[in-house]
Amino acid sequence: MICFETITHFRERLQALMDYKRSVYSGAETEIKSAFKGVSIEQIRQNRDMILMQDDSIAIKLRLPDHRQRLSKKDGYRLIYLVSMIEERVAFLDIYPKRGPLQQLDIPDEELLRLLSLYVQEGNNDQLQFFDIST
Amino acid sequence: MELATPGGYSVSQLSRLNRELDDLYELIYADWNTITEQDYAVFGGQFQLLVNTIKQLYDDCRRSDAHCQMKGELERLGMNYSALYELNSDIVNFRIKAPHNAELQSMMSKASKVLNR
Repeated sequence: MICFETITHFRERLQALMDYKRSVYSGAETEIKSAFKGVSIEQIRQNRDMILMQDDSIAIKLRLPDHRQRLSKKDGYRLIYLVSMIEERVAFLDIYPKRGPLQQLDIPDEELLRLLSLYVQEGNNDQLQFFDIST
Repeated sequence: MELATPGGYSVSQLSRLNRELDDLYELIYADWNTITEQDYAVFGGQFQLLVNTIKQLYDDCRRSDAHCQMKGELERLGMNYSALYELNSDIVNFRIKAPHNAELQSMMSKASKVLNR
């Protein structure tokens, strides 16, 4: 069974989207769950959205649609995650929208470095939290 | 690819430009993570220029009197700018800079140890 875990930054970013006024981004959590529900670990690993691969791990910037706002994968959300090439383990690091008031155009390599650093820190301090994609 | 000043741009022309930009995005995105530094040296300058030109056109059109008539296509143009900007940024950040970024590679190794333990 694939284990999905999250860092604090991801949870805060997702919550900010879910709480945003007029429910603009309220479909974000559903889009994440739809993208991973029933998907094999091989499908999660093999993705053309891969941005970095090293030492049995892959960092991926996944393009997600926003069905609620009728936006394609190109214009929807970006989910940054790590996936192990050995274990059935996935870590969500960040999510942001490509459109609207919280729009983010890209993710610089310095920001990826910061996200990885947060993951290492929280992993070493047992602060990572399980993310249930089945509900 | 057709470029024009906002004053002389019809909705149908903007629509055609958007279709061409959609196709260009799909073309580059299909192979983006196999693009090498040498590849980018060939087309990167022109690609960057194109992205900047689309942004300029988008800003000019938004300020023009015909703004309301072309609202839908203008919104698509904005999305195409955003998509192509991101693609260019991903190529520069993760295909060209990342392999030379020792700090990023070291942190990825540390993250890998945590992920695989």
